[in-house]
Amino acid sequence: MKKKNQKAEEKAQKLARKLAKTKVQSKAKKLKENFQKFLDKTDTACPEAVASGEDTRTSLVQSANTAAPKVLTIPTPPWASSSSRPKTNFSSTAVGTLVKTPQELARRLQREQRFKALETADHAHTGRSLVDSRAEGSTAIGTCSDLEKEYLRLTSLPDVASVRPPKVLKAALELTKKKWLDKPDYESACEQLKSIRQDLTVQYIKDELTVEVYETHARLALEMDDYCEYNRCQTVLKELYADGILGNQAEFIAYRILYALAYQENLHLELRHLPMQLRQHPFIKHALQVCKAIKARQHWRFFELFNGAPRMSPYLMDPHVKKLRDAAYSAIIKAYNAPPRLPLTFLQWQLGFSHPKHGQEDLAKFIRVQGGVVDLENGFIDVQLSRSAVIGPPRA
Amino acid sequence: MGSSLQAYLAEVNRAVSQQNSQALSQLIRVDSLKAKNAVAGALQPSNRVNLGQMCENIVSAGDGFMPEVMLAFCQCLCALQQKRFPDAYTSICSAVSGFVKEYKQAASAWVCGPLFTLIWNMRVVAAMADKHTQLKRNPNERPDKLKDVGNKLMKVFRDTLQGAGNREKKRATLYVVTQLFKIYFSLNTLQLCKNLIKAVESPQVIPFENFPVSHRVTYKFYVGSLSLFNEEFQRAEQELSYALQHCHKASVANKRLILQYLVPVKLLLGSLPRAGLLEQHQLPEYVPVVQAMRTGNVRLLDEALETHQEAFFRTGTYLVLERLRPSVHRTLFKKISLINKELNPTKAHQLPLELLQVGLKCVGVEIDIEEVECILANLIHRKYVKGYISHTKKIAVLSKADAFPKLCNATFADPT
Repeated sequence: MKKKNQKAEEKAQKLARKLAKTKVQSKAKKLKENFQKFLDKTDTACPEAVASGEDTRTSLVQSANTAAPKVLTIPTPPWASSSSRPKTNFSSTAVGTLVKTPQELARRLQREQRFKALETADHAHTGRSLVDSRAEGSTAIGTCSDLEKEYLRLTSLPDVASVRPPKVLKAALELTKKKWLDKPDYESACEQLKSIRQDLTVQYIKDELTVEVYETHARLALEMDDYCEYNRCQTVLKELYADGILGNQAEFIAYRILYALAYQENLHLELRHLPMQLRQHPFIKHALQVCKAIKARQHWRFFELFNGAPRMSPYLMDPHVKKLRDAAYSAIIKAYNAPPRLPLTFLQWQLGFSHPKHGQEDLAKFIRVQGGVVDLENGFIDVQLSRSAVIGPPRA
Repeated sequence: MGSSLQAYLAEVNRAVSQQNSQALSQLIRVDSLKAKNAVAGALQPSNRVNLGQMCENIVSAGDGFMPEVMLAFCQCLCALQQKRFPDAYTSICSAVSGFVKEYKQAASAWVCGPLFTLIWNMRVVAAMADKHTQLKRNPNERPDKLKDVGNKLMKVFRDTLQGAGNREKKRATLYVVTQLFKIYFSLNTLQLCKNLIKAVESPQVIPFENFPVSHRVTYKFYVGSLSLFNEEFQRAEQELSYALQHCHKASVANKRLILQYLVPVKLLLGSLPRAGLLEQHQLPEYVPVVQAMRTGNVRLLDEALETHQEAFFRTGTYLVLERLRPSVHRTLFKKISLINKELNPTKAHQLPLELLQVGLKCVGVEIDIEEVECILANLIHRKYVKGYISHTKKIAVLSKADAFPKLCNATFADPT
């Protein structure tokens, strides 16, 4: 490679000299063409030389045009301010290696300063981050007092002025709850709660307030069937409870049991890890009774429990409702014979459509889907006819 | 005191050269007193023992992998005595991987015994390490040693499956599988067991009866419990019965374990244990349950589940027993129908629902008439009872012949 470069260099110089000498235009043109061809060839061989080669090309062509004999000098690249740049050798370093000259280092320093300027622009007033204040020994508590804050993933160290202290966070939580009750908007509530969680995390706050925030978020997630978020909150809550922080532990253990029951994930393990002192708690008792009702296929008992379910439990009992209803319907159709007609009110309670008015319409719809024969105005179902009709979707 | 270590290593060497499986297995257990004393002596700072050199010199028998195995094993024992559990775990892992090489080279199947011991060591040390990490509650350390053992054992499993050199060596496979089961059960990653079961049942593996009895019993026990958790009761009964039949007469604790799972399964399938079985095997928690099944006393079932909740939660059989409720109801209703027959012989097959309600009240369960109808409807649907219900007259009309078929003929699975 070196030899090649040397040869190429010599040739270039030769051509340049010839070009400078000729005064005849036609000859000069021909020489220029040759020179161009030659430079194109050397482009592929020495890419680094290309950058300077181009300039050499222009300068050489220029010098050729002036027709005054000129010494071949390599012009300095335009970005170098002061140039005592070494001659770019064709035989210089291979592709990709940087030449660490003082000028190059100066240039790098300048580029760095540009990015630093961008960073400092972010921190408007103090420019102090939470980490700094913690390093200084003082407790890292934020100073922001906004009740509502947009949630953004942290890309840099959190700034003291943008993080909210616990008092503010408590008020923010209350505001979120109130807004949810007035007008349920899951996305904005989620965002606010996530930003409260973020502020708590960066300040390493793990106390009753943290538990309350996660519990609220979990409840909202359950209401909106957002099981991903719910599971995330449950994981954190499990750790917080294990650390001994007080909260509605019984309630959330009940949810864990119901969730495992609904999605058949290791229910017997949840029961194994049930703490002794909480076993008699009404929420947990309710959850256990639900488990028992499901396993014993007692639909009456299940719907009774469903109607009296505490807090968010109904949402977790929903997945069972369909299966149980189907099973209950087929049982009733099979078991009841005389009289051939059953009143819809009776079925309402058996199948969990206990809402007085539109419960009957929903029930009628359900029966029709199953292939049953129902008379809505007079309020009964014809059992015999329903039995012989095609039964709807397959039951597990 | 280096001499006791030398003596110990010399013994090991003798066992290896004689290919004495049992002797070697006894020597290389982590709880073997001989080994512990030997190493304790060498730990004295006054004795500068070059362990590696010693192993090389003394343990020269075998195919050349024993020195590194013994070195790692002694290091493990040292670490255990100094309570450095992570180091102990790493050492025992190297011991196992070293011995696996010996296993692959060995011409006869004598290496199986020591291999089992080393695997057992690895699992036990990992469990100790994990427990220690959990107690320390250091957020940087995670108790994942047992999981790591699981991964390593899968590799060992594949090696045993090949049984390089001698078909007899394939007999080691089932032991590895049972150890993996134990790990998965304690880690609660039961879904991984499925693949193992498939592998054992594939034709690649030697016929099941060729494995040692104790391994077979353990394997069937785990497969049976797994079937129980997955609600495949027929299969659970088969596996657990096999395990019980082949269990050694003297291993009382094992028999009790098997029965803990077999009794609920058999109850569900309609067969009650003979009198005295439960007392004999110290299973007092099932006594009231069986009594409830016999007499149809629903309240007794509830009480039994309440009182022995802890035991049932631990074995995971709480919800399985809950499925006995329809059977108990059926027995109760059968008794009431017999009483009804006596009271009204002419209308024997017409059973007033009120009577059922009263019957339930007698055993201490107060429920509405609608719930009675619900229970009865379910029983009819599942063929526990033959007949139908009349809603307006509030009676159950039972079939004249065999209104309450035997439980073993009825299905408890969800009927389609």
